[in-house]
Amino acid sequence: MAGLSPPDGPGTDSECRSEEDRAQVILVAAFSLAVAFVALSVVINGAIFTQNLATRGDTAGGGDALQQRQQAEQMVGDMLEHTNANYSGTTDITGEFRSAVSDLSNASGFQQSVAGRAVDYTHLSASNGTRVYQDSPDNFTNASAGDNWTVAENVDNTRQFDITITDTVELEPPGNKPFAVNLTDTSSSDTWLLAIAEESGTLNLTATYTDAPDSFSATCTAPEPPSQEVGINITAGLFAGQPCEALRFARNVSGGTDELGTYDIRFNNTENIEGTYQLTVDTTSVGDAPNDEPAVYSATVEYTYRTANLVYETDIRVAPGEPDD
Amino acid sequence: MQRLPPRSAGDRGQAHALEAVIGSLLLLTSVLFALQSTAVTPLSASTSSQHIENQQQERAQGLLAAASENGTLEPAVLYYNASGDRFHGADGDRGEYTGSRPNVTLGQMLNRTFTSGGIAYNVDLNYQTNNGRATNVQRFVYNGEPSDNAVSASWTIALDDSDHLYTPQGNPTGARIGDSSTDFYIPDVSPDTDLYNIVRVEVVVWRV
Repeated sequence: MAGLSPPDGPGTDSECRSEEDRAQVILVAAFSLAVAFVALSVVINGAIFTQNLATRGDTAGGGDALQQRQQAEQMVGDMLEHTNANYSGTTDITGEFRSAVSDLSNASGFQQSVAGRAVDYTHLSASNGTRVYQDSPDNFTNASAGDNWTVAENVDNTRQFDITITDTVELEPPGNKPFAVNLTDTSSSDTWLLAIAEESGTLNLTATYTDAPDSFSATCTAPEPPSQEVGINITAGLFAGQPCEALRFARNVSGGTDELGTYDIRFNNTENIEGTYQLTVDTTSVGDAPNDEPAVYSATVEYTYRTANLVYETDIRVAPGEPDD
Repeated sequence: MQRLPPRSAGDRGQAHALEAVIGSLLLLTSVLFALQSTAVTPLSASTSSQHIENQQQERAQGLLAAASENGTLEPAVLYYNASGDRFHGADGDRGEYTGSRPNVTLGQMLNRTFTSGGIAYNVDLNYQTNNGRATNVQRFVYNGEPSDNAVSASWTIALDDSDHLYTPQGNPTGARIGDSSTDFYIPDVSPDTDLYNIVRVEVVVWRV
């Protein structure tokens, strides 16, 4: 250790000098170690910060604006359904919906401003349609007990088409005139046919399209439930609660949001099914249905999202329960 | 170097000891500084675990989006026992779920997404009061105070006067929330219109 041997003890001059200089060496070593540690922490911090930057999104708040848009679409869709349910008998159903959107915009403004953003919805337009339904279990015959009948004509779009079968015993085997939903293109007469049948304890859902070379036929099956009740959500593509690949509503038939043209909807062999159904079409020309009522089919609202560094504005089309929804 | 005249041994020992103490202090502070600037434990909040927090937040946001899409978010908000002033089967002091779990699809989704991965979550429902001029919070699920590295995700839903409360089995009751006879924890902020309230469902998640 430094300075332990007495300076006047045995030893040469050079030994004494090196022992006195060693304290300085220790000090210098301590300094350089400290610098090395600081440098190391800077390097590590740099790496951490790089990782931090790499995990951030590219646009500041862009994702937020889109999420808000999705929420807006669902809230306005909710409003649309509530308006249809509560004001189907009134003459100015569109006016009711317009004020509902304005209420929604005002009410959500405060909550959004707390989060540091301004979100606004403005009603631009709404298109009228008709809801056709049967809400007590029965055969799907029309108002005058007709077996094969036209539900709606010149339809561009259909949404929320649900069928609930309350007694699967009524269903017929595939070869024996099962109940079918028939979509016929008004210009080309191509048909998309959805047949609902039952054979030896198995429910069959067969979608058929006839127009070479695009013809196809696909089937989904489900076991017949002991309760003999089964739900088919046609526009959502659900059969007994399960996704059904064959069930792509109005596939290849003109119509739908991204295709042009129209189709007629017919029910065939309605005595071979028992249950309830509902569908909303974007036309007011409906057939001799047991129940139908005017409804807002779809609406367009202008959505504005503003924060300190982002402004996003777009028109949202709302039609809850459409096939591509 | 000029040789200094010899001094007494006692003086030089003190000087060297002082140097050693200063040196060790320097060493210690630099080590301390280096440790402070990096993540010390997996639980301490720091920028080094940012990507994990981002992932958790995306998971929570995705869960809310899915719940909203399949229509299970609103039934959770309306899963309320009006006469008991609490959610159905809730065991917390403020009507929220602490140990028990809500028997709604949202509760199952939360459990499957987070509990199995060792992630704790709280669910808060922010709603408007005083005709839309203030907000209040009702806890839905409370698992404790979130840690420093907690993240949150939220989803906004609109309630209509004609929405119904739900039974413990998850079926709509006859009680419309817009009726004055229905006792509901969320007030009607827009009594003149069909709009009832705007509820922000907030999920707070953190690692445990």
